[in-house]
Amino acid sequence: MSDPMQASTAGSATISARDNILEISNLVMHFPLTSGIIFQTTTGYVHAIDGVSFSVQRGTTLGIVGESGSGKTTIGRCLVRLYKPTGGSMLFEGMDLTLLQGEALRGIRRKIQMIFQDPFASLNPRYSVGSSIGEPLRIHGLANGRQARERVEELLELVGLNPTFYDRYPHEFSGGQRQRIVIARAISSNPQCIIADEPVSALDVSIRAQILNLMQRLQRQLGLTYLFISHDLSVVRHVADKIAVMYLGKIMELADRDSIYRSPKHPYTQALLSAVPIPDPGVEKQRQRIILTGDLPSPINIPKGCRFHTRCPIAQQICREVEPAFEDKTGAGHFAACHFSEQVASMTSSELLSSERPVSLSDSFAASAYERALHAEEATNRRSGVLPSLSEEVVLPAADPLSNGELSLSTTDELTTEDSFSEKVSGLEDERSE
Amino acid sequence: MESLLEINNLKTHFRTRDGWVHAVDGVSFNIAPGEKLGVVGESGCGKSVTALSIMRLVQRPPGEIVDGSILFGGQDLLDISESSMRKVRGKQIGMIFQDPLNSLNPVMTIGNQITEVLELHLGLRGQAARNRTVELLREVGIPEAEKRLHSYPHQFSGGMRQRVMIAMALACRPQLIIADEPTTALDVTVQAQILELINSISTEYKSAVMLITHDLGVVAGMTDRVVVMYAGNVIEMAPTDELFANPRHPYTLGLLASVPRLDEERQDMLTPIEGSPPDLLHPPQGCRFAPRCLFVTNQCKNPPPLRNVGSNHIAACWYDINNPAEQQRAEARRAARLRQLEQLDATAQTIVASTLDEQTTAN
Repeated sequence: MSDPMQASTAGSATISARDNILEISNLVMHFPLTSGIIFQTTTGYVHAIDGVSFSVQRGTTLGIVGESGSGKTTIGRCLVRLYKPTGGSMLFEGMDLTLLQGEALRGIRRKIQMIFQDPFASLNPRYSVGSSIGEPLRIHGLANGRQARERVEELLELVGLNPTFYDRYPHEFSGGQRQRIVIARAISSNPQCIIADEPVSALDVSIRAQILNLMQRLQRQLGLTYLFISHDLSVVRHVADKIAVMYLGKIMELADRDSIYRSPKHPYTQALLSAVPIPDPGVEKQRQRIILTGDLPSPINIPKGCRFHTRCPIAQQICREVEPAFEDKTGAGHFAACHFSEQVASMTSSELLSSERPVSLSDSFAASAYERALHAEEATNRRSGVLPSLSEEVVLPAADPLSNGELSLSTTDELTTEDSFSEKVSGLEDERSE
Repeated sequence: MESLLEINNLKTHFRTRDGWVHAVDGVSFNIAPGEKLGVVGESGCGKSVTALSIMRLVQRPPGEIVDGSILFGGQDLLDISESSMRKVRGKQIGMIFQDPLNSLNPVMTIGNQITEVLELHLGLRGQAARNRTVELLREVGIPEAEKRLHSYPHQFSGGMRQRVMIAMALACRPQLIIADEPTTALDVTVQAQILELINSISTEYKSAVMLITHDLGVVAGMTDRVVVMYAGNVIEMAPTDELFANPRHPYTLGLLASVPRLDEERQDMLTPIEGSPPDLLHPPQGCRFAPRCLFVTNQCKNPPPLRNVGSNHIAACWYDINNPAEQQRAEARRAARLRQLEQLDATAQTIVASTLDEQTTAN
């Protein structure tokens, strides 16, 4: 895993700024796959996070979006050290979380708290609300007895619940109220950073807005830093200042909220944006969608080159071979990992989201997405080693990235046709499966 | 227009230790042949129970359909025998459930599960059934269908499983497909694929679709007409364009206002509907939305009837929420709630300040 690592480290050096409460560089989390019962042997790794670098400024919210299996939850769990990362570093106020153990780790956990998705599973049904919220106070020795009770009652009030709920049990509350209780518990130890893993996904639409407003108010009042993990792009846009789009264990795009929504620089971000249904039939019925074909590839065998190329509507030869660097595309902190981000940038989000689309370069983009859909079956065959005829629409761009001699592969003429390339790939796959 | 399915005053209740839960409490609507109808509402509003009642799949006990009729092609599904009902299920009405993993048999191959439907309902046998199964799998976009016949559900991804479910639901070209939250368990990119598939294939088969979802965005893109449910009642029904352009029930209005929209400028604060849905063991007297409503008056202690508010547009509210006088009242109430929130804000601020003091003194 040498190339991808270097690419993202190069990126991280430029990301860092002053007063970053969190600085993650090159974080790697691989889960071993084992077989055998007594003599366990490692047969492979699930590449949950594969070299991720970002930083979060104090008092702001970083939104992490991605599909299930993209590694966004694993990042959150690494940060509170529910997992011990395989590699990389996570600096929290200058202290490396990966190295902490025992008492020091517990001390840090007071400052980084977590809110989980399902408020029905994350509250102990046998604990009264008061003792659940007060537990962090006791664990960290912050308050005891009457003092703790007073603090918990304050916290209940702070999250918009009645302080008399202290002695009630979780089953007496609705989902929204439970999530408030979970939030109260998370802020009870005066943390600086809160990792919210899909905090509103399990809630109904009308309740969601209440909880999001509450989280925003608490952030303002307590100066909290949020890491907001969600699959819902409209929610993330609402809460986050900066957004990281993850795909298969890597960050594909990282930028300020507005620039990521106004001018996405990665085809995956575009596809995500165009897939979000908008509650307006006028917009919906005329909208052009980029429908990605297929599913997320297995995180055990990550595709070579750009990991998105198997589903990418604009993938070219180079994408199958060279992993794109995660770099600043605008000079203003808009990071993306794509060889063709300029081509992508020609199709802005307003075009993706509105019904009226001016004719532009992006039409060729949409067309290739359409053709891609038509050839979905062919693409699958290609992946599984059945060789189709060379598709005509695969034309290398004018500025041929293949010709600048960056390729480490020995002979370039071997790569000029798709057939020989897929032969090569299928050959590799055969070797691997043996 | 003749309707394919006509539900009249359906009441499905569940017996619990604490009493009867009125999950569906007098629901009436109809679906025309080939129509795409959306049913939206929050969890617990009775939308799934309505679907299960149509299929007569409500478990008894604890559930019981206590009143109403479900006319499908002229016959009342609640009156016919279980064996005739079995001929309706899967053949005339297909169903797609939310979680494809739980609704497929884990120890049967995909091929056998689809073939079973064809054998039971269409009497196809052997090679003919097999060929049709392959054809169906191809139609729903499963690559290498012949090979995939012998796969088990666990070998498929979530999206692919949902495609298999769709193939099963469509196997007999049913007149009606009920899709209960078909994409809730899926990622957005896969959701787009599946919705597109349901849309195109139902159009091709000329099947009517009843799409149950909590996502207003999904409804906007997929349906011709929408039924909005709240706490076991239908509270508004209108053609999709009309409903989104001109919501006439305060709940619909509130729902539309509380979702952050990607295509609009970002707001600093969302406008939630305060409170939570009522307990259906003891539903409030009168209008069930009244405790959360901004337009509420004393009149709302009486249950509002569904009344015509436009062409094909009905809503269960005593008031015309477009009327300036009513809007003023709602505005005043919203302002009062905002003041309450500000007060809460202020108390919170003092709490925060006092904690900070304590911390500094402790240090």
